[in-house]
Amino acid sequence: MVELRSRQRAEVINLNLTPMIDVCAILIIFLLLGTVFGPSSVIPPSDIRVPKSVNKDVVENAAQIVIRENEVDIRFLKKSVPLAVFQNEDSDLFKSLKGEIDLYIKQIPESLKQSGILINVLADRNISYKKVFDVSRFFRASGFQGLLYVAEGE
Amino acid sequence: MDEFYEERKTRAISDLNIVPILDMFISIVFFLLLSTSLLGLTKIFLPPSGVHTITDPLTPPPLNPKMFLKSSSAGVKAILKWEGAKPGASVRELPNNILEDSARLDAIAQMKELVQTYKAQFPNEKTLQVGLDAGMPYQWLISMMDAASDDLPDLILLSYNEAQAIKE
Repeated sequence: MVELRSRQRAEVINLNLTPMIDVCAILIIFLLLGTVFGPSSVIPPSDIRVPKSVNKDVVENAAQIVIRENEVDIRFLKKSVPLAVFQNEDSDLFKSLKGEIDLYIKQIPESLKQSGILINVLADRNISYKKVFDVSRFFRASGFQGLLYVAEGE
Repeated sequence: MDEFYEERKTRAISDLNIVPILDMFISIVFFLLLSTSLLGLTKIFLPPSGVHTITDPLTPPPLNPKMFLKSSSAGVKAILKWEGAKPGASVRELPNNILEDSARLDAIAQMKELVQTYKAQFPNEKTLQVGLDAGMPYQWLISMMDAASDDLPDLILLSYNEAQAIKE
């Protein structure tokens, strides 16, 4: 007796890739439109939770500082300065920092100065007003005309 | 008879190899996902300061409106004071927990009401000086500016020493 074994043929599953490509394309378009390219875009450090605001204005490209508990990152000078410096106007560090900022402001092109010399201020929502005020006063006195407090939209 | 009919050519269907395209798409998606900051940022503008000189002695004294936030164990008080010919003040009790969304929105609404009441009395005013107690969180400053900037866009920061010295 001959055993007839019907050989099972492996079924080829055809994966329909069209919807997947559609989704990928839509994702790419969304992300491309939502991404801000350029070295001056404002990116808050991961250890800082910026305050929340109901304001709808869009952040502007300008010099940036980050106020931390004990120091201030001056991003446009690529340096960190202890917070105590901003509270002691007689210190040498205070005077030298002011000189560096003067030089930086002089280097800003006149075309950009026409819209005002602006600075983006990033700070944690829990940091005390005293620290924010002391730093804001210093930068205002150093020649920055408008302070832009960066916040997260509600 | 058959030679009248041309034999129908079978069309070769070329299979497009979409696997590399998919690979590229997925790589782009991952690149963009990792490089995108999905945080919607906004800004509160503290405008340039200016000096106003009063030359006409008959002009009524300036209003110099100031809004302070004072913190105590009982809670936070918003005080709006002004000078001028008829000095006055308004006070609001605010929720203490500013970091909670509902409390913050409530505080902004109350401070906005305070500012709008003042603006209704003095519609030509555009300036407001704002100050907080030294230890109050920065979020309070942003919320106070949120409340005031629509009606009184020219905001000036006041020292914490002045805020601490203020009396109701």
